[in-house]
Amino acid sequence: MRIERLSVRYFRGIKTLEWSLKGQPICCLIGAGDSAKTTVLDAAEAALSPRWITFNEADFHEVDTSQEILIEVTIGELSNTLLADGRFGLYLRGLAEDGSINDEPEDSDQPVLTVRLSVDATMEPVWSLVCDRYAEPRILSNRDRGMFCLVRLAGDEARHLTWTQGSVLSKITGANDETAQLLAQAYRTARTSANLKSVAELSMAAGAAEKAARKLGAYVSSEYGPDLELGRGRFNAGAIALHDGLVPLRLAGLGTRRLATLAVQRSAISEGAIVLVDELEQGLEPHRVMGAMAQLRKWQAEAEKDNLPRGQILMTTHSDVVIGELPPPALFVMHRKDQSLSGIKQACAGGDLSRIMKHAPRALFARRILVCEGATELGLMLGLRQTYAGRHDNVPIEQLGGAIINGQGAAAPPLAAALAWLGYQVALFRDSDRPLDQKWAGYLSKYQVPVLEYMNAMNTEQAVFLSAPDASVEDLLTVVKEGISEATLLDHLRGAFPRTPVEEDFSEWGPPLNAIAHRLALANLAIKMKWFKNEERGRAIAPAVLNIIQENAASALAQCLLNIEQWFYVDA
Amino acid sequence: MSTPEAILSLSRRAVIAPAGHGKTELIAKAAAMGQRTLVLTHTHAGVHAIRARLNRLVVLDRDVSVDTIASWACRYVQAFPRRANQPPLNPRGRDWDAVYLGALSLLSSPIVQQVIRASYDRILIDEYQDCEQYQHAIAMQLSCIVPTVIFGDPMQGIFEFVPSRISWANSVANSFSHAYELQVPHRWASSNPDLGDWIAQTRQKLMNGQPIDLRDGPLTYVATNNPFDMSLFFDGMEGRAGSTAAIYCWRRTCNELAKVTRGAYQSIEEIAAQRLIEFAQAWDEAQANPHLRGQALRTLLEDVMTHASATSVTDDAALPAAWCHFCQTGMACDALEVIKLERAQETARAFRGELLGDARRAIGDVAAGRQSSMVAACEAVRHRLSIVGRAPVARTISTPLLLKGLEFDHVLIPDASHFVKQQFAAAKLFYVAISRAKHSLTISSPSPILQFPLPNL
Repeated sequence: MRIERLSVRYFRGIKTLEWSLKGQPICCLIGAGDSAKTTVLDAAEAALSPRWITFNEADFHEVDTSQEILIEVTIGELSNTLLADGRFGLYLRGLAEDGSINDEPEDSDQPVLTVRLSVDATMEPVWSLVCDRYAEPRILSNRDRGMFCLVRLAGDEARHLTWTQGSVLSKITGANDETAQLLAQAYRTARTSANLKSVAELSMAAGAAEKAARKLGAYVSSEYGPDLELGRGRFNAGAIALHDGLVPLRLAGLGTRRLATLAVQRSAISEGAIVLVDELEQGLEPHRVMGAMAQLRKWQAEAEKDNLPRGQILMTTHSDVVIGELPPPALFVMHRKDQSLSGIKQACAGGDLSRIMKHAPRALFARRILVCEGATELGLMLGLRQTYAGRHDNVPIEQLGGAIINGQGAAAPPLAAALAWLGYQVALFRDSDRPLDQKWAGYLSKYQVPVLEYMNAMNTEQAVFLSAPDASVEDLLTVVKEGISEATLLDHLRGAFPRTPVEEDFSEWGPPLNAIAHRLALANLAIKMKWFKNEERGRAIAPAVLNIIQENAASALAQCLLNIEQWFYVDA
Repeated sequence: MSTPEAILSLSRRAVIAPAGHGKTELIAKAAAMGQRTLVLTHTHAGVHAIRARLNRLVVLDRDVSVDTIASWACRYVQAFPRRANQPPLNPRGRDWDAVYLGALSLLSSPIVQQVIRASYDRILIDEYQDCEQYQHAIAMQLSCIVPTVIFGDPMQGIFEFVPSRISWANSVANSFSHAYELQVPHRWASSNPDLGDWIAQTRQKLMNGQPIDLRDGPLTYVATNNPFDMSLFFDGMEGRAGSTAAIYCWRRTCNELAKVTRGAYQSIEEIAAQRLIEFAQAWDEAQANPHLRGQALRTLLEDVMTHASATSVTDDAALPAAWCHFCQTGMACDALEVIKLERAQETARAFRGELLGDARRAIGDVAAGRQSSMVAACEAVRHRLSIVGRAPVARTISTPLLLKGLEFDHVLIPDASHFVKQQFAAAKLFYVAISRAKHSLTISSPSPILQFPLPNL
């Protein structure tokens, strides 16, 4: 099963939301805090979970119960159980290739079902299938909804680590009528011996859970088995809990507990479950996050290879490690423009973000992103950024949701446009020696991306040297010397300035060229010899550049860089 | 051999099943062995027969669905109306062609095929000899999607007068190749094995166009050329335990015979119940004219009841008064009173009890306000009957068309020579008639030798 579309109206913080999941088997939802990510998962769960869900006034948008809550979930990759004509086969709708839905499917469509949950002021939830071909809606019972195989990995996982009624472990043990008998037999066996491991079915379920848990990276110290958790009140199926050796798994660390639950759920459902995960990274070290992500992807790849349903994992995250492990189409960004309107966009739909996801995933959690054209600009900005806080009440740009990323030269304008389309506030910091491509200039102005560049069509090297007082030029040369050694620098300088005493302090260079021409020639040499063309060199010149800004506030360099600082702080 | 297990390995094959050879049992058992089987047949009565057998085998409804081809096609067509070219919602008569063509079109949709594959892993179709061409086309399409086995008997294909009916030899045999022919006449095993053998041999002779000699079998031959010879009906009637059916090809003659027997033999109605609907239409049209309503009821009662003699007028004045009152009000409740008093007369005998009962029920529904028109009420009554089946009647007289698929302890055939003269399917009609008999068969005919034309197989 796979959620193809989710539409939410008047549910908690969401006034209206349309989310098209583009057939992705993994969907990771990110967005600034309070952008209602969890509400999205709550909506999917409310519509598809077999549990009865109680609603109250607070679940209505702005507590206005006159506006009915309406959640519609369109589901594809349907199991045979759902497709049968005795179930919902005759209620199928069609998902067209362009993402639109035909109430009656066209031959080329993917068959889907749409579940609607509506709640009006009576607080009575009604689940039904959307299908315009019947006068009477098909009402869904909780048993019907159970067939959508939706599970949520949320706060209360302890339930799923026991054999309690409706738990996933009880499902693995046998999804038929024998389960009840089996458990009754377990009670009897337990009463006499308390040796639950002798009940083969329970041990098998525990074994399956352990295998999956190990793969996901849960720490298993002994082995998983069923055992009685004494002192937990009544003796029912809930008292039979999964144990690691002698210790109830309920008492394991948060990360292991969550991974074990995920593993239990994964081994329970063969028909391709929809798994909702709040913040996968909770309680996990980065390397375990990476391991768990890799295993989830591997399971889906195996299912696909064997032509089995892959199911779907819908998760939220605040971890750059998770993003780094995602396939680019799996990332969805949620932005809310004002109090009511929410939008979720597939990150890669606006342009290629794979490089950022790999190398600077943290920036995707920011609200405003400065896209630097190249490594020089990035390094320079990273160096300057460290000095910002001191001048702004010790507030770093990160605290204001700012981030700085490398746009990789010509890819920078498309990247800036893509990020702006996703809803980020974006500025592009670029060399101005080559004019901006007309097409991208158009897009950037459309998405209100300020382009910050040096006046008079200068590049960074020119701006730096031409704005620098003599002392600063000397500082810059010192930085270069540290980077490429004094001998190499002299070598470079002698080649470019044959009749100039380049061993001397810059203020002593004198004729044959005038001061401006010397600076221009130095800038060109810096470009030619790539003095600043990496992040580390860029960062190294930052103190010198800061000096230039302070000494020569009217210069092109200072003007541009002050604009950037202002964009981060004043406009925030 | 034709065991239920063997059926499971077949795909797109035909099983020939002469009457009484355990076909329903075989279908039910084969269906019960599958995971999700669809059994299709033609009539609600057929659905009941199979469902009842499945219940006896304790098979759950969710494992086997049983339906008529018509209502199965309707369900799918209503689910995907656009793809099925918008067929009518409540099909009647020729509308059904649109439903079947719609279903045919649907079955080529990959999505519908996916639904069918998800719903069934085997399809069994019963009474295949009664398929019309579009139903046959649907069966062909279905057989491309999931393994399909058909069951039928070309010798029981008596609907030759319907032009769209398919020929077994020309259409069916090419599409569904012959797998087995059932050999054991189970129906007679405990009642009259000799009769079973004789019927099976007679079937063979009829298929080959050989003459049938009524004297050399385990049956009673009565030499007479008069179908109205009452000795056939009443001689030995007391000794016949269980159900009896007299079978005659003409519906009108059946009604007359029923009248002559004074209701000892009851004539039954076809599912569409034309006479009942005629009455209902006359009733509804006479909305403003109670007198015409009286007329409609009077002619109906004349068609369903007989009196010992025309002179036997009771001194009870209640009946004429009730008629008089009804002819003034035209109210359904007053009509009920009339019917009640008519039936209460000592000399009155109903010979089309089913028609009378249905009319009374429909009038009752209108009187109680459950139905708004008499036509709707009558249709509802007939619909209910098509779902629940007829109440058992000790002695029935009707045509092979209405009695096919049923079995009776005793069968009487008045003047078998009229079977030979039938324009369509003469030999098949005769075979269907004689194979209804379980314990005894009594045939009257001017000549003991019957020579039928070669059947159209």
